[in-house]
Amino acid sequence: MTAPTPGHDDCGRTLEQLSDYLQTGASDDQDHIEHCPQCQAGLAALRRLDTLTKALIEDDVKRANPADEPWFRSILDNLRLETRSGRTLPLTANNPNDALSETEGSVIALIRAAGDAVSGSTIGRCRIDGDLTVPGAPVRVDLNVTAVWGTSLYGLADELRKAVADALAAHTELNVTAINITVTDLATEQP
Amino acid sequence: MNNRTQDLTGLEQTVRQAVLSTDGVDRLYPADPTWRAALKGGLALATGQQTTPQDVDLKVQAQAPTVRLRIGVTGTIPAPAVARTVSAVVRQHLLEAFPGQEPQLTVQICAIGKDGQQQETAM
Repeated sequence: MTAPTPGHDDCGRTLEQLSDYLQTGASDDQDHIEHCPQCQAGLAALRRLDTLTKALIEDDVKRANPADEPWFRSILDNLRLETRSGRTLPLTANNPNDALSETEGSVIALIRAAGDAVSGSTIGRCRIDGDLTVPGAPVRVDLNVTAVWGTSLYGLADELRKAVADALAAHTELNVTAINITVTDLATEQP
Repeated sequence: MNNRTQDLTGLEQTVRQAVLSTDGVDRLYPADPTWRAALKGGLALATGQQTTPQDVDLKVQAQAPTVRLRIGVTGTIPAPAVARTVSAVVRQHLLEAFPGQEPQLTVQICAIGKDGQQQETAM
């Protein structure tokens, strides 16, 4: 059993649990994580840590002159993709011998970027429900959002929904039937 | 290296250039899965040989060429349209190299948005 995360003594959830939840959007303990302020703070910290880690790795790789070891760069690139690629979303091809697709991970990242571009919010959990592997099957997008204190939540939800819907309409062939937005936390400044 | 291998290597380079020159394409990702890339890299280190990651997986099976690509797109052009354009461009090159043989193409979009933007927020 893993020791509780420092600073999370109140609820006992571990960083490993939160990290798994952040990457997969799923957890047996989902209800708790979504409503626990310590867990929400932990998730925000993990996202910041992930961004910082990526920057450090990039810097290290540049300093190590990756041109000398392209296979190492290849491994890093693949690891990043494969750990987050998720399901395969088929795309319409003009030729029956072509198999065109997008990864679920690329679409999740697209949704996050579209949502994070809306002022006054940061996207937390992001999940696409439905059979993504079947063309035209109805799918639903569920977003958890941290909003900045003082932001009109109804206006924010409308803006987010439009931004995400526009991005998905432009870059996917998904049949999106709903975009559900849940404000799970309020922050006094942009997280 | 025999002539056939040289021909395929040259065609891979042609395909690579064509894909990277396609509007909306940001980059190519390694076609090999991680374990295979690690194995190749480790073997190359052990034997002192140079190796480069393969980002255009071109094979000729039963006389029909197959190509597998993983690409990142810039996000300035709809991603599905970019995938279709890439497949059309690659198909044209393969038909020129293998007249009368119907190519089979696999194109997967792995990242939407330039490095440091959408892709970096994938977590």
